[in-house]
Amino acid sequence: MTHIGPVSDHPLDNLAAHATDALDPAEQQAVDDHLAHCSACRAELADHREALAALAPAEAPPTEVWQHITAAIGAPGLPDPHTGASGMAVHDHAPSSSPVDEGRGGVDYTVAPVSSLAGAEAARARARRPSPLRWAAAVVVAASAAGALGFALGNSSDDADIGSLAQRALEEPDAVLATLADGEGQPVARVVADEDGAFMLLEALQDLPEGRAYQLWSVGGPEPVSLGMLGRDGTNTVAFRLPPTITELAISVAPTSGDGTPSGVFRAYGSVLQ
Amino acid sequence: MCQAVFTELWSHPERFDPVEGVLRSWLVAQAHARAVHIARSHDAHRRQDRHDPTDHPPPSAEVEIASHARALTEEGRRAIGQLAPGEREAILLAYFGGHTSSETARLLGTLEGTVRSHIRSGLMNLRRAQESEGVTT
Repeated sequence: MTHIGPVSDHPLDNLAAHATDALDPAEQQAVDDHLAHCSACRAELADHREALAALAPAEAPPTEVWQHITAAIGAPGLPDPHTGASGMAVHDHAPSSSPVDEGRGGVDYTVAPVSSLAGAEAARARARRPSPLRWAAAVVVAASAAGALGFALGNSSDDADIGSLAQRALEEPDAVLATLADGEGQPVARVVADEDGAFMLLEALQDLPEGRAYQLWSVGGPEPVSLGMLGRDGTNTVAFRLPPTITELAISVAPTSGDGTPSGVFRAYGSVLQ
Repeated sequence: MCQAVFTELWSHPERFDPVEGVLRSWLVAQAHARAVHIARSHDAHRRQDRHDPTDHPPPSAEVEIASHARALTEEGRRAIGQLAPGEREAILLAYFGGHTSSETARLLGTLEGTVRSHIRSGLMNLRRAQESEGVTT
């Protein structure tokens, strides 16, 4: 049960300005601080965002964007949600002249203008300030891709069969891709995979108190990258997708909503067999 | 932009909480925040370079409002056309123009508090209209 205080306690006008990204950084931080502990205002912000998103035109981003996304997450075979073609197949047919930056992010795609603007003044207005909406529009249709993209981690409570799928995977030879050990070298978790997917089996971690959860990280790169939350149950099984670029995994303890960077000592660590 | 938003979600799936809104509007909000950040950095950078040949005097508020409205889809124009003028102008300049509320207030010759309260009432009226028309994101 959420306690909703008097209206004057909530920064309602600033919340609306925040939804349009119209606050300066200090004011935005103040609203974010309030949002962290006010579910009523988080719900109102979500409503404002829905109102604004409904105004955004739905446009498909260029095919190359999907190729960049699948390359960046290490899953180049994922089918494009618009064309149905896999990123790899499309890539093979891409004109050789198209510059494909395989490096870090930072490639900005502007999509086709949502309408032609008449008049020199209006054209200048557009040239002077890139329209945020035209960039934002690129994700609108792509939002439907989230089903194909999925989340790195599924939610074990969503699927009661995950445990049995994982057990079946365990019966396959060479199914165990990684064993994660605690600080004393004792195995506490395993990663298994078969054609149904990959599973993280927490086998000997302690159950965590309310408000804390295990968080899975890829730690093979220059900085740890969160792969998602594993719940607070120390003997949980969670389905996830293991991009082939991931070489080392670690598990930390975090607040339920997750950490941006791992805090404290990793509770488990292991390498992925290539 | 699109790539950055999607790979961010892939790396930090916990940042999207389905209890607090639908995925589409969350993605649009992430993209908008990034776009505004880039546009403001770009403007700040250009202000330091007085000899930038691409710099033009800014258009009037009326021209800018009209150009943002014209860039909407027909449904979007109809929805925003139902708002009171103050609400419509504040949302077009702040959200579609990427202006802060203080810039928006200056452009409209009004107070910053008025702009924020117009944005709020405008968004609530938009949401009510969308709900009564069964629009979902």
